[in-house]
Amino acid sequence: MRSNRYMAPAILIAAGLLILAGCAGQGDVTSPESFDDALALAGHDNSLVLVEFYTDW
Amino acid sequence: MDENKEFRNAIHEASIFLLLDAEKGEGESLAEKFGVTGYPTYMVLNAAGETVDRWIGYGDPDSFLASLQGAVNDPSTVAEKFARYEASPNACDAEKLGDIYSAERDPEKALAMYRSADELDTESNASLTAKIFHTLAGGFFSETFSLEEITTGADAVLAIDGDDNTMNLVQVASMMGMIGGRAGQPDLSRPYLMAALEATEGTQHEGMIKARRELLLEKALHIDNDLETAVQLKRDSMPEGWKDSPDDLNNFAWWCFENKVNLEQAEKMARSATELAEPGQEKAMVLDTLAEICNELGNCGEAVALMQSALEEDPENEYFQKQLERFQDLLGQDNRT
Repeated sequence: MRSNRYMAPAILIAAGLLILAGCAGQGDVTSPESFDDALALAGHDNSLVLVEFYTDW
Repeated sequence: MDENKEFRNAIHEASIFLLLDAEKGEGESLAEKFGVTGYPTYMVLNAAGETVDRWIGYGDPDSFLASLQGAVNDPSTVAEKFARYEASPNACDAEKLGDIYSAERDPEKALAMYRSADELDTESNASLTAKIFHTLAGGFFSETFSLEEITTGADAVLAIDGDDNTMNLVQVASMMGMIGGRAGQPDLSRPYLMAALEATEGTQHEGMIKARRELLLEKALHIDNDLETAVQLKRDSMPEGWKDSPDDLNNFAWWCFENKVNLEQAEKMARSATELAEPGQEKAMVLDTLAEICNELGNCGEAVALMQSALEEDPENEYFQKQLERFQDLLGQDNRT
């Protein structure tokens, strides 16, 4: 069986980790704890919500 | 300056960032609600939870930030964008809607929008022509579009002049190779392959060198039928230390099995991989490869035994159960003849 791990281009994984590791839960930034929390923050700041859906595959 | 920090800051300045595991907690229900089928999927939403933009894949940091900034500059919802397009058709809205429908995995709607953008845009747009091809090619696997439609889309990319079309040519050649293989017409990719090889000749770009190697492999395998060269190119493309990596050994062996080449060596590689693999799912995956190769070499009895071992390593795997039954059926047929 083909290994999925091998198929994933390294460059994509690297870029993904940049986002996963870098943007969630930064100490100096208010991070939402839930979807509703994110929408409320966006309403308060008059900004947009960026959601990343990922899986652990 | 720390590029990662710069990138993080740009994300936080432009938006409220939320990371959701699509298989856990509220991530699971939200992924279902928004029809998320590819990962990673990015969605830009307004405070009411309405979609402003969405795309699949990371891309590179610059294009990622450009997409996000585009949403900040035009925070209209998808419904508002569509209403604006209907009231006053324009190429910009049409292309953006095409991108969004494409990320929603709706190739027919995406294609209609891209074609409208193409008609409305008076200047030649290589990127749009490539998007039309990718939408058509993606629809091949879901049988949404015919081979003839896809070939027409590929020919349109081929007709574009200029160096900035090189990556598009490489992608078309690669996709047409895949589609031709699936359609039982390996020769289908020939004109695209030759054009892409010509365009990448002498390239110094690391990514292009890698892509060119893949194209040469494809040519040796499916156009020239030069299996010896194909195997050598495949070997040359393997990363350093591949002979000690169960994952790399497994994938080389699987490649041999898929292309029905070098099977005796493939068997040795798969056997080495089974010894090196971690118990559990990884070992089961390699045992499946070895079973396929043994079966291909006429040793169906061992294929059955190997699939039984694979199921011991990964008992819940339905695919391996089906594989075992398949090999047992084949063995039964062999014994009857």
